[in-house]
Amino acid sequence: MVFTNPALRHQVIQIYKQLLFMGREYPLGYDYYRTRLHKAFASQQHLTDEEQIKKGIARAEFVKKEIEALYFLKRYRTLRQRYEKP
Amino acid sequence: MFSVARRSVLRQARTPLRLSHPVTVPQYSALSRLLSTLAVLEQKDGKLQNSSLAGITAGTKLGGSITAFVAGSGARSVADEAAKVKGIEKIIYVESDAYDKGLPENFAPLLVENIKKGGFTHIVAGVSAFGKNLMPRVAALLDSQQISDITSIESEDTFVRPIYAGNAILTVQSSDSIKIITVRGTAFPAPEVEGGSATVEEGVDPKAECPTEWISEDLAKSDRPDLGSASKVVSGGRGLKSKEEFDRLMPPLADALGAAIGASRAAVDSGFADNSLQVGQTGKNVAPQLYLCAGISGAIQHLAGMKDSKVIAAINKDPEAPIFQVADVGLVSDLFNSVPELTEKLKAQ
Repeated sequence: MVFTNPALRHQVIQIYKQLLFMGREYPLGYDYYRTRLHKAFASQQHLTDEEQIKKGIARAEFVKKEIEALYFLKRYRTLRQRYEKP
Repeated sequence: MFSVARRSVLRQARTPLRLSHPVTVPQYSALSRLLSTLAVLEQKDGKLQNSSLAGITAGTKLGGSITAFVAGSGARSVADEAAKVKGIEKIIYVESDAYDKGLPENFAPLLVENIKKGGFTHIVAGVSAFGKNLMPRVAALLDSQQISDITSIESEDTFVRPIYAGNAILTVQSSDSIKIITVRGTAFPAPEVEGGSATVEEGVDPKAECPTEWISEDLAKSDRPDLGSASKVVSGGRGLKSKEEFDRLMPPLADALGAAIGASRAAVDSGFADNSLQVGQTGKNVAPQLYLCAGISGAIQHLAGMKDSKVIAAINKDPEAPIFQVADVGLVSDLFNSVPELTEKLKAQ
C-alpha cells in the first residue's frame, strides 16, 4: 500500500463531494451524472505522483466551473425563451 | 449573533432616512429639452465604421438633438457619408491626419474641446477598441464618471449595464452634468443609413501634442461580416485538432452561410485561430440569430459570450458532450465529415 499525502487525499475527496453535490441539478438526472463522475475519478485512482494528483485536482476544479457555467447558461436561456416575445 | 443584531439596528435607524429621501429623482421635462447628445463616430482610412453608429441609436432613445463627431484625414467625406444617416442633426468634423489612428493622447483633448464648445450633455461612443481607448481619458479630462458598455437606457440619466461578466444587471443613475457613455453594439440596432439630412460643420482643433507615435498595426483582414454584429456565427473549438483543419473547414462553411467566424478560447490558445476571433468572456460578446459551434464539447465558460444568441446549434461526435445540454439543435457526428457535407448542401441550395 502506497501512502499518499493525506492533505491531497482530503482535497480529492472534497472536490469529489462538491461535484457530486452539484450533480443533483444535472439536466440528465443525478444517476446519469453520478456514474460518470465516479468513473472519471476511478480511472485516476492509480495516480501516486503528487504532481499528477495536483493536476487532476486542477482539472476537477475546471470541470466544476464548467458545470456552474452550464447551469447558468441553461437557466438563462430557458428564462429568456419564456419571457421573450414570440 | 451580535453582528446580526447590529445590522438590524442599523437598518431600523436607516429606514426614516430613506423615506424622507426619494429613491428616484423626479424627471423634469425641461431637462430633456436641454439634452443634447454627441455621438463619436469612428473612421478608418476615410471610411465610416458602421459599428460606431450604435451610438446614434442610443442618442435617439435619449431624446434631444444628436450631433455626430468625426476626425481624421478625409473626415469631410466621412461626414458627408454620415450626414445621410437618419436621426443626426449636425455633424462636426475635424480634418487632420493627426487623428487618423484615433490615438487617445491627442484625440481626447480634441473631443473635450469640442464638447465644451457645443455644451453637450451626453457623449456616446461604441464599445470598440477605439471607444474603450478614448472615452476613459475624455471622462477623466471632464472629471466625470464613465458609464461603460450599456445595454439599455431607462431615462436620460439612468442606464442599464451588465456586470460580473454578464452574471448581474446593474441599473445605474448618474449625477454628473456630462455623461460619458459607451454602448454595446449588439444591444442597439444600427440606424437607417439613408434618408437623413444633417448639416456638416467644422469643429475646433486644439492641436494637442501627442507623446505616442503610431508605428504599425497587424490586422487580420477578412471580407466576412464583423463578428460583433453578424447575424450568423460559426465557431470552432479544440475538436478541430489543428490550425490546418480549422482553415480548411471553417471558412467554406462560413462563406456558404454568409456568417462570421468565431473560435473558443481553447482553439485560440492552441493557435488554431487568431485571437480577434475569440468569443466569450475575455473575447467578444455576440448575439447572432444563429450560433453554430463545431468541435466544442465543453468550454461553456467561454461560450457565455454567446448566451444571447437566438438559436444555438452544436456539432459534436460525443453524444454526452455538455454543449448539447445548452444547444437548441444538436448533431451527433464527426465534424470532419459533417461540416464539408453541410457546406456542400448549403452551396447546392
